[in-house]
Formats: sequence, C-alpha cells, structure tokens
Amino acid sequence: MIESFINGTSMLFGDPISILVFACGLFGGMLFGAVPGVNMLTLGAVLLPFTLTMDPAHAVMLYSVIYCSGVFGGAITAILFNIPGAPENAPTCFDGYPMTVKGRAGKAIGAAVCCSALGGVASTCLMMGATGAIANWAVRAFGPQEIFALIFFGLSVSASIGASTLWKGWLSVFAGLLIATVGTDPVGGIPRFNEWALFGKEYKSYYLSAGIHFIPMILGFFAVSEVLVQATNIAKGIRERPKASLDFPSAAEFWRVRYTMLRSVVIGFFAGILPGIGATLAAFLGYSQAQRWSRNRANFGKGELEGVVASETANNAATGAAMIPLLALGLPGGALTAMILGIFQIHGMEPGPLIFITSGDLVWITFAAMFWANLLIVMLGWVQTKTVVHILRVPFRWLAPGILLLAAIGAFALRNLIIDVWIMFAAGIIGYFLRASGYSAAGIVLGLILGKLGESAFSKSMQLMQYDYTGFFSRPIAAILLALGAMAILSSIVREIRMKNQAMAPG
Amino acid sequence: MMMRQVWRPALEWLVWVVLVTVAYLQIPTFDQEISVYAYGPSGWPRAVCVALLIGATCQLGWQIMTLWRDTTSADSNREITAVTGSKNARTVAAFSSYQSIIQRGCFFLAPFLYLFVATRVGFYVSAPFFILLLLLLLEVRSIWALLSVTLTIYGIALLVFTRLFFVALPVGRANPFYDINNAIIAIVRTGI
Repeated sequence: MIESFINGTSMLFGDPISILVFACGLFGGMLFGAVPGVNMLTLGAVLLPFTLTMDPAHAVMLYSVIYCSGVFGGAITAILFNIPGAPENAPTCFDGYPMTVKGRAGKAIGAAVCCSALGGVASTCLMMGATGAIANWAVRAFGPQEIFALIFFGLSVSASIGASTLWKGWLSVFAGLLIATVGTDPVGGIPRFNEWALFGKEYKSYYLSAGIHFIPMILGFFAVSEVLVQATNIAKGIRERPKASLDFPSAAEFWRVRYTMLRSVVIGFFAGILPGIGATLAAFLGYSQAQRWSRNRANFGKGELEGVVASETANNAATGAAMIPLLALGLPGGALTAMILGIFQIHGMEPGPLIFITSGDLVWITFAAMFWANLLIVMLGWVQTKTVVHILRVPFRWLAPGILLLAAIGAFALRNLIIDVWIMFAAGIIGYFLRASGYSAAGIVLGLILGKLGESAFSKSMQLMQYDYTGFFSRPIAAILLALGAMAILSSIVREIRMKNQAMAPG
Repeated sequence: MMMRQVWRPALEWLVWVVLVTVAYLQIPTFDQEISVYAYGPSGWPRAVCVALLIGATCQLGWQIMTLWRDTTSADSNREITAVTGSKNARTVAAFSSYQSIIQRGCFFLAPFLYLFVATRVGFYVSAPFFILLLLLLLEVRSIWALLSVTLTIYGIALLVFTRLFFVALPVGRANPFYDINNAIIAIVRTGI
C-alpha cells in the first residue's frame, strides 16, 4: 500500500499537468465551497464537459480534490456570516458564528481548517487501506431497512440541535419532513401538494411538482434570516460589531478536544460510506454526539470550539469514505461521486473490484491527490485565516445587500426557477420568527434533506418485508440502530425533565 | 407577562394545528393507489401530519405544565435574546418605536418587492436599485458610501456570475427592459 501511495504521489507531483489540475481543483473547490449559492457541484457540473478531452486519471483526480476542498470551503462563510456554503457545513454555524460574534473568528476558522484536514487525511488513509473490504461489508449489510434505521437514528440524536426545547426540536424536524413531501412521491412518481383547494378555489403549481429544494431553504433559514436579524438590531440600535481576531487555536486547545475529533472521524467515515447519507448527516451526527459527551455541553450553540471541531471533522471524514463504494463497487453515494462515475463512463471505464488491477495508476494518483489536498488545506486554510477574517472589518450595513443579492442569485441559478428565490426569502422570514420562538432552522433543514431519502428507504423496506414491521428487528444492524434511536429519544426526554427540575429547584 | 406566557404556547400550537389541518385537507388531492405500494403516496405525509400534531400537543402540554408548576419561563428570555443578541429582555421588549417597526417591515418586504420587479424589468436593471434600497433601509446616508457600495456589489456580481460563471439571470418580460438587460449582458461578457 505504501509503495503504491508513493508511486501515486510521484505521478502526481512528477507531471506539471497533474500539478496544475491538482491546484485548480484545490483552489476551485475552496472558492466554490465558500461562495453561498454556488458550490462544488456547480463547479463539477461546469467542468464535466471538459473532462472528455482530459486524461481519465487527471479528471477523476480533479473531482476528488474538488470534493475535499469544497467541503472545507463552506465552513468559512458558515463561521463568518452564519451562511453555510453547503448543507454539510450547517452545523458549523451553530458554534462557529457565535465565536465570530465573540471576536474568536480566527480560532473558529483555524479549528475548521485543522479539523477538516485531519478528518480528510484520516478518511483517506482508511480508504487506501480498506476500500475493498469496507465497501463489500457496507453494501451487503446496508439495505433499505438499515438506511431507514440510520436516518431514524440520525434524526433522533440530532433533533434537538439548535432548539430551545426538545419538543421544538422535534417539531422543526417534522416540519422539514412535511416540506420534503412536496413534489413527487418516491414510489409511483405521483405529484403531491402541487394542487391546492382552498376556500372552494383550486390552485395548481407546475413548479412545485419538482419539489422544494433544500438549497434555497438553507440560504433562507441561515443567510436571509441572519441578515434580517442583524437589520432588526440595526433598526433598534443594538447591533454589536464582531471583532476580527487572527488567533489560531493552540495545540493545547486541540488536545482538549482529541476525543471529539476521533469520534467525529469514525462517525464521518461510516456515514460517508453509505450511499445517499454522506457528509450532511455525518456533520449533524458528529455535532450531536460531541454535545452529548462534552463536559461543556451547556456552551454548545454559544460559541464552543468543540462544536466547530466536531462538525468539520465529521463532514470531511465523509469525503474519503464516499469514494469507497464508488471505486470498489461503482456505487456513487452523492451528486459529486455520481459525476465521477460519469467521468469513468465517458472514458469507457467501469469502476468496481477490478479497478485496482485494471487502472491501478488512476486509483493511486486519486488517493494521493486526496491525501495531499487534505494536508494542503491546513496551509491554505492558515493563509485564509489570516486574510479572510478581515472581511469582518467591513461594516455589516455594506455587506448585507451583497449577501442578499448573492443568496438570490444562488437560489435562482440552482434550477433557473424564480420560485426558488421566493421560497428562499419566505424561508428567511419564517426562519427569523422560528429563531425568535426557539425552533431550530437546522432541524427543518435536516428533516428536509433526509425526508425524501427516509421515505424512499421506508417504502422499499415495507415492500421487502411485506408490511411486517417486525422485519426491522430481524436484521441486527437495523434493530440496533432503531433501538439506539429510541434510547436517544427517551434519554433526551429524561434529560429535559431533569434540566427543568434543576431549574425549578430552590437556590 | 403571565398572560403572554399562557397565550404564546397556545398561539404556537394553533399555528401548527392550522398548518397540519391545511396540509391534511390537501392529501385527498393526490390520494391514489399504487399497485406495488399499499400505503400509496399519501401514507407518509399522513404520518408526518400526525407526528406534527402529537409534537405540537406535547409542546403545548410541556409549556402549560411548566407554567402550572410556576417556573419562570427561561425560554421567553432566551427567545428574545436569540433575535436581539441582548441579555436584557425587558429593555429589548420595551424598545419599539413606530419608526423602527416601519423600518423593519420595509426591510422584510424589500426582497419580495425586488422579486416582483425583477421578473418584469430583469435582474440587471433592478439589482442596483435593490442594493440602494437595502442600504437606505440599513441607515446608510452618505452619498459616497451609497454609490460606491452599490457599484462594487453590482460590479462584482456581474463579473462573477455573468462573465465568469455564465449564470443565466432573469432579463425581464417588458420589451425595453429586455433589450437593456441583454445589452448589459453583452457588454459585460464581451467588454464592448
């Protein structure tokens, strides 16, 4: 393995074109990841036609590097402006932005940089060592029942994130699940909620047949609602300007959160392997587990470094893992890995167990590129920390119109539908009031992202088990995940009651 | 204050119930049979509606129980703090001048006005006015700042999305604006 890795590295850095492609992927991914509205998928889609004339190894490498750096890039705007560049950076907002408000933006970005690199490197090493074995296990062991159970577990442990009470957290998730039902049903393709009958009148929306996309919702709930909150504070004359700090986290601070990093690597890696689950659930799970086990649990959501560490480690740990089913079995886990599969097909290649024999060079240059890309994130991220934080010195009054305009363009560019921009601004206002009432915008987004996937897995499970619910418990992994999810719900209820009792206790 | 504490959870519950009822009443419009799936397209939405109703009722029960046990509602303070960033809820609640309310209302409505206008006169024509409007609502009064910030944001947006990424943005439906928008695109892309 080490020999193959060295060969891959020498192929990568021994060829000027490889270096150029590598650098383009690295900077392009970071740039597109950091700009709200466009993301690494936009870059991937734009570049796809050009891969036809590229060497297949360079093309696959380019997309792998974009994947690594793009997931990291979204953390910058999440921390500085409460605008996640991608869904997987949403949990980074919870503590990253409060840190910025407290004048600790440098530390938050520094932590995101180092933890993204650590998560990515660890994941790449695991990927290099055990692609074949892990992919076989994961794909055989994880059917629709397990996917549904995992989503149930993920929602159970992440529901209360960002909400003032457990019930409000769950209500937020359910609202997200309800929004996810708009569009077409996953089994029969029948349109849902695109025809409305209210007060004797019927309304039909062609656009709603395509469903409500989560990107405008994320932009609305995070970017637009944040601008509205700050605009309200300006109108009231109570807005405090965040201080721009350039402090990088110390080694001691990282040492204090070592277990959180390790836990998030494991969570991110296993979530990343599973098709469709990917980095978003990984980040939410990483964050919720960090909150669960942390000694500073009460500080989560108020600017706790551990929160940034957990979500950024987990989402980058998912990147290497997502390549495993793709390379070993030809199963893409998400949109970007699907594009990589497309590149294989464009060049007449078929990923699968034989790829290590038939295209060993391609595989190892990709592995090496992902490894070095993750390492270089530290260096580039350090430079970014020292430069990008200065944006905070620009008055928010000047930035706000730019943020809204950027968000509007991003929402529109997604599908060229103006309804997406309407939805984004509506979500922004709803998000403003939900935040004011203690509900969780992140919970709604999580429900929205996982809703369709969950329904699809549930319907397939039901068909496979012939509508026998006990069938879930005949599959060990599904049974364990469901039991853990139920335990998580019960324990969170008990914790909520205890906290209430403690608050009521005299003194 | 006590009345507000009692009414607020009830109002929240009512909002959820109305939302669920409206959604539930729409389900029959797509309640068709799918031969391979017994629950059909309406099974999952129905379950989510029921879950929402249970969640909302539990939330109401929880809050009423908390009030009944005479607990000071920490949530209310937390809620206002979340929006305002201030720890002193009373000071914040007391602050409400008409000017501030109108200013906030305009800021909330501005994006919708912009969308309404942008689909008719096009993005390229309406965007600078939208930026200018937001700056004015955010109490920027210096002419220099208004012009320079508007031009900077508009210029960057044009360069990045029109020249670099070739994003197709709305060009409007009304004829003169349609032509003006296309002219702006041509100038930005070709530099002529």
